Amino acid sequence: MRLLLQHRKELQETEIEIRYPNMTERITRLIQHIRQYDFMLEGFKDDKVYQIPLDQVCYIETIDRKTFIYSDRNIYETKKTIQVMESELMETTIVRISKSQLLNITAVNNVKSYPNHRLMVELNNGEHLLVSRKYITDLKEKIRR
Amino acid sequence: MVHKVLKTYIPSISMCFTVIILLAGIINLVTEGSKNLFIGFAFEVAGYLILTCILDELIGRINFKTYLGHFFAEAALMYPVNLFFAVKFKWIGINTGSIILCSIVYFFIMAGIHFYFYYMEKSSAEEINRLLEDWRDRNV
Repeated sequence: MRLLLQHRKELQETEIEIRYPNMTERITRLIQHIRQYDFMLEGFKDDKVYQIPLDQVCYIETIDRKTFIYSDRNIYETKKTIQVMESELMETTIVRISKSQLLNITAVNNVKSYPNHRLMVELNNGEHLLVSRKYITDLKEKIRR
Repeated sequence: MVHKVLKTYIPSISMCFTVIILLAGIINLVTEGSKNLFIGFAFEVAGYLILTCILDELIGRINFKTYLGHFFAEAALMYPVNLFFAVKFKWIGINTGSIILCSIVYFFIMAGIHFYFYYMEKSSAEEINRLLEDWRDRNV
């Protein structure tokens, strides 16, 4: 595979063009990865609206009927419910891990077994989350994809 | 192979054994109408196991931080239930020797079950870590 990079000042936004002789699984995955990179979530912080790239999101959590988006360094609030976010992000790297949490698998460092048939996820930023037994299979399936 | 035995054969054998014994008991009761001692014992054990599953579900709502904490709490809370069934349905004689032996067997079985799930869950976590490694290789 040849990689061509062009610096063109006149462009309004970054363009990615993929030329291929045949569509393969590897190219499909590459396209999914680029789309994932382009996916933005809208969040609020200090009355300002932010567009958060999906690859910067670690997890999404509902607390007291409010939904928060956690990135490496910041916490944003969103007006969408966790169910709506789950359905919108179904085709991305986001997966439900408990009643109130969605996890981005790109943020996972490793997992460990935890009492009561659960898993403890260690994130790249050092935070820990618990995966309920009900969602362990979903997590496995999402990583397998 | 060990993993296949633990993950497939042991649960399959346990399920088949339970279903066969219970179905044989039901058929025996319906056709013969007699009370076979062994079948009576099988139904008592089934009732005991269903009750322990309900208790396990309730105990599982406590947020245990360690496997040992979970094991000791569950073993201690279920021990009186075990002893009640054993004495009430005359699974053991009512003397010190029988009660001590029953208690030892109970704690060994409880430890075995907890160790089984600890091992399986640890294997599952290792499998997920391997899948994550593969996923990173494919996507990064």
